[in-house]
Amino acid sequence: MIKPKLMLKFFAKNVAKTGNPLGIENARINRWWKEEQIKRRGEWLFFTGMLYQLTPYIEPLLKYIERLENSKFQEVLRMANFSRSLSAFLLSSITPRKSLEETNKILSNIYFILNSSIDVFYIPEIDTYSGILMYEFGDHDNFAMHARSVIEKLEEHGVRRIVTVDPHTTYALKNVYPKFLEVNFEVKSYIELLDPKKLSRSEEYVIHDPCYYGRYLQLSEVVREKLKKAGINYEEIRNSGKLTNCCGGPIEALAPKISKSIAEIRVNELGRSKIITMCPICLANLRRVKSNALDLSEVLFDGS
Amino acid sequence: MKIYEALENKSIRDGILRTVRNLSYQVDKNLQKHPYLVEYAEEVRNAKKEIIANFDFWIEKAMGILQSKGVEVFYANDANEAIKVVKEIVGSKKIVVKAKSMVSEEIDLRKYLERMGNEVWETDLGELIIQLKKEKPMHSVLPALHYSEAQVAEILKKIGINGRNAEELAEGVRDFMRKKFMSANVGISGCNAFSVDSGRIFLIENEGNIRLATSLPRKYIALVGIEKILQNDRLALKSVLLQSAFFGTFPPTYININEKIEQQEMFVIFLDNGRKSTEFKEQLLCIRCGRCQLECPIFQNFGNIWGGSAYGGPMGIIWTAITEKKSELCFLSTLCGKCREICPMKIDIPEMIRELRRSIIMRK
Ligand code: SF4
Repeated sequence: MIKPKLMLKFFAKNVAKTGNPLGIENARINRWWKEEQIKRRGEWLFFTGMLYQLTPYIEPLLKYIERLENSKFQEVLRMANFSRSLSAFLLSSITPRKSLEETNKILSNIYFILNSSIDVFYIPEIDTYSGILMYEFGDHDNFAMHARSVIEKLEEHGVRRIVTVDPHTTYALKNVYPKFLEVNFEVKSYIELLDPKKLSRSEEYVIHDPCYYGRYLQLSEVVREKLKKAGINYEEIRNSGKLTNCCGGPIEALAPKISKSIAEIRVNELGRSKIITMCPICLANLRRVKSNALDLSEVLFDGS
Repeated sequence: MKIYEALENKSIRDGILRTVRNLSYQVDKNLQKHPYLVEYAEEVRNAKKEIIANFDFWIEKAMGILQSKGVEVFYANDANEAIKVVKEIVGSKKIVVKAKSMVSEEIDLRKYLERMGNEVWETDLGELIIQLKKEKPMHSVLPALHYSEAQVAEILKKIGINGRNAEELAEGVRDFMRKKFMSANVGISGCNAFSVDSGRIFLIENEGNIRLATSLPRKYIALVGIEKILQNDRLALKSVLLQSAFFGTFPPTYININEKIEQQEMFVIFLDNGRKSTEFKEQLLCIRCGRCQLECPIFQNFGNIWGGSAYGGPMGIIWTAITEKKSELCFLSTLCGKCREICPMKIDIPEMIRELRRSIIMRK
C-alpha cells in the first residue's frame, strides 16, 4: 500500500492547483462538448464532476504506482519528490487514444439521451471535480474548502437543478455537501431522468451495480426499470443491487494489485455475459482484468 | 504474515471464497425460514444499546449476581490486568484446556500461560491448527479456513496424530484431546453472551469441546468482554442464536449455558480493554457473527491478516482501534458498504472507518 498521507497530499495539492486530483488542467481533459451542439441555459445543469474525463489517465497512474506499492523505496521517498515525479510521469505518458475517445462518446451519449427527455444545459467552465476523494481519505478540511468553491460557482450561475453522471459525484453533491455547507440545489443522477427508447438487443447482459448506487443512493431498482423499458435482457445474480460486490476501484491508487485482485473476484462472479456498469471507476477497474464491461450509456444509446 | 504475502498466498483467498459461497446461501436460507430472526436482531440491538449507555450500572449488577452465587469475580481494565488475574488463578505446571475465544487472542493469553510453564491446549480443531502453526486465526469462527485437508494432516503430525482423511484425523484429535480433558487442571473459555439476571455464560459451538473444556476441569475461568453483557437469559439466548444464524450454521449444534456448580471453582473476569472509553461505541453492538468479514472484498483477499494482532476484517479494523491501536490498514477499505448492509446489528462500519481515517490524517 502506498502511504495514505503521501497519496492524499498528492491529490489535495492537485485539487487546489488545478481543480482535479491528477493535476491535469480541466480544459485539457474536458473536451467531449467541443464538437457538439450544447445549450448554455436550461433547467438541469449537466455536471460531470470530471470522473469520466480522468479515467483514461488511471492506467498510466497505476503503472507508476504499482512499482512502488509494496516496495521499501517508498520509505525514502519524500513528499515533494513523489508529487513531482508522479505529475511529470502523468503528463508525459501517452494516454490511449481509444479510451479518450470512448470517454467523450460516453459523455455526449448521456447528454443527448437526456436532451431528448429533459431540458438540459452545460457550462464547461463550472464543471469541476467534486472533491470526494479527499472526503473518503478523511481530509475534511480540504474537502470542505474545495466543496465551497464548487458551490460558489454554481451559485454564481443561479443553478437550482443538477444532473450527474456517476455515482461518486452524485453522492458527493447530494449527500455529502449538505453535511458541510448550505446547498440550494437539487441533485439527480441521469439514470433517474432519462427516458430510454425501445431497442432491439439480443445479447444477454449482467448488471454490476456500483456500491454507491446499490447501497448509498439506492438506485438499482431505477436502473432495472430503465433497462426493461429499453427492452434489454439481463440476468440477476445474488450479489447485486443492495448486495452488490465491490469492483475494487476505490483503492486502486493506494494498492493497485489488491484492487485488481478484487476486480478478478468480481468478474468471476459476474460470469460470461456482457457486464453493464454505470461508473467510470468500475468500468476502468473491471477492464483491468479483461472483462467485457460496458458503460450503461453505451448499451442504451441507439447509435452504438 | 504481511498483507502482500497474504495476497500471494492464494489458499487464503480460495478458502474464504469457498466458505462464503456456502455460508451466504445458508444465511439467506435461515432468514427465509426463520423470519423472526430479524425481530430478534432489532431486540438485541436495542438491549445492547441500553447496556452500553449504562455500562457501570450493568457491570456492577453482573458482578453482584455472580458473587452471590459463589463465583470469584474480577474486573480488568486492560489486557495486563486480565493476564495477571489468570496467572494467579492458574499458577504454573498445570494443564490448561481452552475453548476457542477471540477475547483470549485479544490479550494473547496462551503465550503468557505457556511462558509460566503450563501446558496449554486449544481444543477447537481449527484453533489447534493455528496454535501448532503459531499463527493468528484467519477468521473468528473458522480460524484455519485457509488450510486444505492435506495440509492439516501434515500439521497434526507434529503432535503424533496420523490419518488418511478428515474423519480419521478428527478421530485422532478427539482421542488426543480426551486425555487432555481428563487430566486438565483448568478450563478457560470466552463468552458469547452473559445474562445479568442469572449470571449465566452462553456459548455456542459445533464440535462439543467447549462443553468438555468448561465442565471437566476443577477450575473454570470465563473471560467476558463487557459488551457481551445482556439483561437476561432470553436476550442472551437470542443473541447467540443470531450469532449462529448470521454466520450460517443454524441452529448451532451445541448451546452451552454455564453457571457455578458445586464441584467446580468458577472465576469470571470482565474485560474492559478500551471498550468503555472508545469513541467507536457502535461497534460494541457487535455479536461477532463474522458475516461482515466473509462478505468483505478486502477480507476475501487477506483474512484476518487485514487487521490487528487479534481481530481482522471490517469489524476487526474497528475492534483493533478499540483494543489495540488505530491502524493505517483502514485505508485499504473500499468503503463499499457491504458490511453495513449485511450486519445483523446494522453497525455502520464504513462511517467509523471514515472517522478512523480522519483521526489518522489529522494526527501530525
Ligand atoms: S460487525 Fe456485524 S456482521 Fe460483523 S461480526 Fe459484528 S455483528 Fe457480525
